[in-house]
Amino acid sequence: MRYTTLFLSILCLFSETKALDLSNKTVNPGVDTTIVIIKGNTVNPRFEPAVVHVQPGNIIRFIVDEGLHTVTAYHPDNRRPLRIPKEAESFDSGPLQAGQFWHLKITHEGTYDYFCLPHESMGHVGRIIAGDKSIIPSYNDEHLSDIVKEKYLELSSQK
Amino acid sequence: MKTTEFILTLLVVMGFYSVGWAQNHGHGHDHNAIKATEIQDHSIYHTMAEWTDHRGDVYELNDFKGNPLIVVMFYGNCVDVCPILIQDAWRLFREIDQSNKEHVRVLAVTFDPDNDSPAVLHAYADAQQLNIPGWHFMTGNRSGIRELAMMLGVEFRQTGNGNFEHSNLVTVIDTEGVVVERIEGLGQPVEEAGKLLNELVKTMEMQ
Repeated sequence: MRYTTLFLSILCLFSETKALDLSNKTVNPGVDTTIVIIKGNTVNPRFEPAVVHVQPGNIIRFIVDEGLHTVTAYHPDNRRPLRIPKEAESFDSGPLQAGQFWHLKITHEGTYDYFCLPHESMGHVGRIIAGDKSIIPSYNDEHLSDIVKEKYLELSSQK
Repeated sequence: MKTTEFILTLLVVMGFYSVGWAQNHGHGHDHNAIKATEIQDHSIYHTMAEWTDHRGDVYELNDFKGNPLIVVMFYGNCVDVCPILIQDAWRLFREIDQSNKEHVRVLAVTFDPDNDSPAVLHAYADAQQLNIPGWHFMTGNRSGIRELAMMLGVEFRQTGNGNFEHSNLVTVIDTEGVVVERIEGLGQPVEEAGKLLNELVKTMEMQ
């Protein structure tokens, strides 16, 4: 009985803390299906893997290994050309530091291109392909920097 | 047996909690930022320094009198917090009602006049896709930059490798040049400051 009371007290304490944390940094918390590690800082910043294949409804967990990064959609809301499905909502994780993680729920089939705000100029970009892998995105490369264009050319070959 | 079960359950719960802790680790996102200092409520329009924006136009701060301002200090070579600060200024700008946007000016002022020439700032504005009406990426002389930073409460210092350590601050300034809102830290909520800007525009239109 003593143990039960102690256990329930501790459970309440920790459960509350977790709920607060999740409200800070998580979009649609749930079962993780895919993990992307964010590595590097001002040297070789990168998403690993840079291209992931998922299904609509899946959740991606981005884990920051080192440095300061964001996971930001190519979307007019973020002052970038639209490179996610038209029906999907824009996203921006906000700043994420080593030890933090952030979840993204993929809602629609298609290709989602995203970048890291601090390191976009170094080609720090990633791609999520949801659903049919054979779909080739017809995104316009206009308004992308040369390094980002090259990076997406490289990522396209990894499909 | 009950004791063993209890310990195992407790360990599972502790593991669950540690995930939440890892997520929370480092919240505040200041990333070695220097804390902003307190400020007096003096108008920034009392300074006489000259500034040049990314279009090559020359201003005194006084030229912006009569319009609400968003001011952010940054430097172009930063591949750390500055692009997030610029995003924060953009998020705040996005909060402003569409019809009010044309009345608000955004000043993104560099810490680094040696590198951030108007041409460099123009390229930066293009890269950030912020070469848009109302936005001014500005450089000036060192004393003017130091003076403005002091009035905003922004601390900064150059490090040995050409980078800067600095406060992460987005500031809202009223039509008379007085600081009315400061958003310190990266990725902070901007809704309240957005409402304030809308109110400042409304007040401006009534005058």
